[in-house]
Amino acid sequence: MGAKEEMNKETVRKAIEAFNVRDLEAYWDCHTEDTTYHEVYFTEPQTKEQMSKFMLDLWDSYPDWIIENKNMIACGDKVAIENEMSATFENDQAHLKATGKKFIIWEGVFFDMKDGKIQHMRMYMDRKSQESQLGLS
Amino acid sequence: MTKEEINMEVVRRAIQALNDRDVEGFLSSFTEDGTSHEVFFPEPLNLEEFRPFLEEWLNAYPDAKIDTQNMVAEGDKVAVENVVSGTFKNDLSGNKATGKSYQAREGVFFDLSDGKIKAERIYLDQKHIEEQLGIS
Repeated sequence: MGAKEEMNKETVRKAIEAFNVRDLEAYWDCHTEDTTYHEVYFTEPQTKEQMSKFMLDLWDSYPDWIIENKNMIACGDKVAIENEMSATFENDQAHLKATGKKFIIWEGVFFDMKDGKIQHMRMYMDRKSQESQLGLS
Repeated sequence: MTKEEINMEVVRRAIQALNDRDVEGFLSSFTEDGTSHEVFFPEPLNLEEFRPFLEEWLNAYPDAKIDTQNMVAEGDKVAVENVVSGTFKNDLSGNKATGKSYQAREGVFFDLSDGKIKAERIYLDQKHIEEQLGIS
């Protein structure tokens, strides 16, 4: 593995760590200004501003949301990872009433990197399993 | 060819076999103890469990297509992003066929050993698919 791949992996690791300690500034330091996120929760890719609001709401509703990286591979400016995510639905989110239940789910995430920063992210996970565990379906 | 190029070619051929409705060709890409962890099942399936699921899935979606959009490889690991599409023409797993079509993105991670797939893990959003198919 070359230096570029190692640098890109380190950026992704730092972003996950920043997410886990709720450090939004450090999180976005790992990204380009024009970064986009394509989550399963949205039909279209989201901007940095849209994702900031989403993440703050998420952390409020799921105060213990944690991401644990299980696998990471890189080639050139591409990084792909598998994570285990877990969280407890403790506070209402939009129209959803908090259930106090916890989910544990795996996700696959793909990153396009530029100059050692995350430019595009695409996330894949199963909302059906997540909602079932949370008592939302 | 590098190890990564060989492994990516194995994955490409496996996907092509599925697109050709060649279940045995697809399964021949796996090691004998290979497994597939689909979101539809809580635990990974071995090949004997995987075969009937694939056959039923291809029967339910006769026009099923997997279009690979991105591939990342490092050592014995390969990850791909696909767009999967199909029309629900025949009943599957207790669900009545609706005749509706779906298109969904998925991420798939492969572990390889000696040029064969030892494990695959598929990440996709069942909810999005079921909404499109009218079975939610």
